[in-house]
Amino acid sequence: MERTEQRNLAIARRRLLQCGSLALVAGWAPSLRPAQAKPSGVINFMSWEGYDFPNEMKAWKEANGVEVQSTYMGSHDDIQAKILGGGGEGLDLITYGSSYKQLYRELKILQPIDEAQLPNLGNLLPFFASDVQNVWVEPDGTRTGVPADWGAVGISYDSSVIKEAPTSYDILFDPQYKGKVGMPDDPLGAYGQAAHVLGLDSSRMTESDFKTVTDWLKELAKQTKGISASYGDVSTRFIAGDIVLSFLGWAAYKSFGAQAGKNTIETTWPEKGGGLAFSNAWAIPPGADNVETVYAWIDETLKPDINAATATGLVGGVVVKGAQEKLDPTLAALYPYDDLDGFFARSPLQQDPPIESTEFVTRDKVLAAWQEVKSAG
Amino acid sequence: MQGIDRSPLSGAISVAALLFLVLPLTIVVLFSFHETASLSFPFTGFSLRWYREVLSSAPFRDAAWNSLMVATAVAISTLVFGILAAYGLSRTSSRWRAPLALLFFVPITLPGLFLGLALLVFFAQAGLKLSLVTVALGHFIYVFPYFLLIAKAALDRMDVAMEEAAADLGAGPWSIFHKVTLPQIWPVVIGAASLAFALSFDEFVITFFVIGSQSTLPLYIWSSMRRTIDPSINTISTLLLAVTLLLFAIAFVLTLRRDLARGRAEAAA
Amino acid sequence: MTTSPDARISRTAFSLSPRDPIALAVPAAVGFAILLAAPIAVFIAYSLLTARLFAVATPFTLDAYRRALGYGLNGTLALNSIAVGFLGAAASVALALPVAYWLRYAAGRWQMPFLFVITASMFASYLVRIYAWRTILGANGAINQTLQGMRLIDAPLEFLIYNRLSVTLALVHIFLPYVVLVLYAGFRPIAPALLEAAQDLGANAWRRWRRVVLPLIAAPAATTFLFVFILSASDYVTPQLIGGTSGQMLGVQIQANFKAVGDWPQGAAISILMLLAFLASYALTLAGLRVARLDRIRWVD
Repeated sequence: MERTEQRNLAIARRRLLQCGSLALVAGWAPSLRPAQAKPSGVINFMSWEGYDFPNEMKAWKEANGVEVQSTYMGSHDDIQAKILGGGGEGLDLITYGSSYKQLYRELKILQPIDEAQLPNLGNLLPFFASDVQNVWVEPDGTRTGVPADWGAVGISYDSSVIKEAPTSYDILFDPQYKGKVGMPDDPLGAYGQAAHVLGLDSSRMTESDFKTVTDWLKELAKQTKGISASYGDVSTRFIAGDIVLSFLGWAAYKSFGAQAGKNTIETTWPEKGGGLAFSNAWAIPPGADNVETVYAWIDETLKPDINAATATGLVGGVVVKGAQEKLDPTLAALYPYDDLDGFFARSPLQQDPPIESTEFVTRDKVLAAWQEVKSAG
Repeated sequence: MQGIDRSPLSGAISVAALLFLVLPLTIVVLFSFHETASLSFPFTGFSLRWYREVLSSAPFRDAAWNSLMVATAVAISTLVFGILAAYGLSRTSSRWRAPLALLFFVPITLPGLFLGLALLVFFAQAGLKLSLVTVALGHFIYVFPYFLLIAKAALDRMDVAMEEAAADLGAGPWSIFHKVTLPQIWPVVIGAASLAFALSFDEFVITFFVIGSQSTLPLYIWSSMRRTIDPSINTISTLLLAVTLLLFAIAFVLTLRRDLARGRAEAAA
Repeated sequence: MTTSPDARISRTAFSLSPRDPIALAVPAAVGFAILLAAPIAVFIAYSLLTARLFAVATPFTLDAYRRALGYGLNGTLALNSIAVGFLGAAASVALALPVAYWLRYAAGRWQMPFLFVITASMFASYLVRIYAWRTILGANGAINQTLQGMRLIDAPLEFLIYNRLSVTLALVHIFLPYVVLVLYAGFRPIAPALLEAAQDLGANAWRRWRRVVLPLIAAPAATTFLFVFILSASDYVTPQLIGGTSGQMLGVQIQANFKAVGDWPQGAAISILMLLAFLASYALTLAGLRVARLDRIRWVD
């Protein structure tokens, strides 16, 4: 009796485990297969909201059977966090701002770009082709990025509440707007613009410069009801009427607001303090697995009419010859196309605080101080 | 019921609490049908435009499909491992019972942030690429204790006399399990698996850290929240709510109906 | 008549016969060893390593802990987290007690529908709830619009959102259903007859609560309080979305260390310190219950 019992138990347990593992495999198998057969043209994309050009590139996508899967970032750090945290496999296309170039080069996030695959590269306006600041081409000639757009962040304001365009950044500290000021969670952007307003340079700050800028930002934070998690969140707050002013004001808010029925979000670059120039460039991260399609995408954006359309959507500047004429006159008047070299000499593209330095305040210190700014007030 | 005062105060509080819980969700659902892009009152009119927009959006469908796949894998693996573990813990007298139970219940006490980060760091160290598989693994750890809790409670409550009698009559362990035990506990077990599915389908915090370049539905909601918000996010939320409610209803009916019947009998006594 | 399992616990040391039913739990245990124990071990190891930009390196050091404890902001955020956690947990339990009580003793035929709705609300997406509170508390949100429509206020109330209040409200909304269910389960074994007896003996409602109900519900209430406290204090999504400047919490700092700053040992060190604090409070609560002899209440079924 005992031996039969033992044998039965052994058989039973084996059968149970067999059934169990079968069910297990059956349950797990679907997740091991890709969710659906991958079409040849899927671009996994990560950047700011709007840069995947859903409308402007729609015709090209349909003609080529390409699908773009986008993840929008709240700040640039989302990108390196993803790639270095191990989730970057399959990420095909990113953008990087001028201020992140140094970090990304250090972290080896930018694959060299083969210029031969971009026949339209010659369309670039002279300033963007010459790259005096080595934002897109390394000194040794390796290209790491292709300019996609440019602009300047200034002050965004709700023109239905603030009738005249602000003439200086002091308006952000006006007591009557306490609690009505917004700001996105973009630490390097914030330090960059704040330093510029104060006549300093965030990539070359001494300890006392750093303290000045940090205190200024903390005072500004007290005027807000919390720093928004993303640029999109700032525009949401504008639309909801929670804020009427914003630091790091992005002209594209006007488009976002218009889509929601609010046409009064304007952006200005005051006489006093100016704006912080930025330029975003396409780049290909390591782990990209659809590189040909990405090259085709980039090449397409270098066409004048596409560039004009995308610039209109982002309310930004064009980078390609012949695109300026296709712009709406008001948008074309926004940026000094007749003297781009001069403009960028006055408001150079934002640069990083150094990663390591004995002279100037380093990047990690800036980021750490930013956490304090977020909790100020 | 006679004797104790009706406690009108706690009755009023209960109604208030219910409204507190339900009203915000009602507003979310309401605005998913808004004909304009505005998210503030007044509510101007009904429209299905956002539903059309969301359901035709490929990224949304991908995210929903991914959530479905992951939740299914998690529910099935939790069911299999969980039933085995619950049965083992319930029917044993070994001293390993307490330590093993402790191990299994630890994830309930850990914040999702901690679990997600620990898994992220571990996968990086082990060289495991982040993907939906890593998400499913993370969900498994998170969901397993809940399943185990319910299944083990059901097995503990069961009268083992029938199992013992069957054994005395010469039935092998597998026969006992599937002819005596399973028929008594299957509603609870299916209900618990349904709960496991719902928990995985809705999980955000752990997913956020261990997912690769794909997206699940909660993650899709999160990235939608980082852009300018319009009612499509209400729509996605309503769809998600509908699915999890359905699953919950199944779990509720299967798991609690028996308990409540017994509870009511006790209360009436 | 079943014998209690405790009576049958073997007296031998931790032996494990392959025929023991507990062998069935081994597959799950192996899974947990790989997916829970190992990651936690690696995580602890990370907190003891040297920081590199988005990476770690030897040598082992306590530097991360020293920096975590020395940095003033961490202290402020920790206090914030404790405050919000405490408020959230206290509000949840305080609100859930009368609800659970009513459901158990006075709800009658409303019991099932109420329980259904309360539990169902638990399944609304976590993100959705936080988002829902934004639309309710904002300057043009439901509350302000209603109050203005009823002419009770002229200008929108600004203090409703982007502070600790909104974070606490959202967290209570998330955890209340859970607390109600646990307390309801705690009330279940307490027969109405007990409360009637107290009433017959002359105790008014307040005394009944203080002397009879609360001590009996103390253990589940305390553990639930702790559970909600821990989960609320470690939340990092709510502060980002509706926390404003005063509502920032430690979870955001941990996340920032991993994502933005790239200082993984710091992030790990802060997490572990937070976890140790939670374990300590858990142990303290259990000890407190034991001292008050409220933990050993057993019910004869």
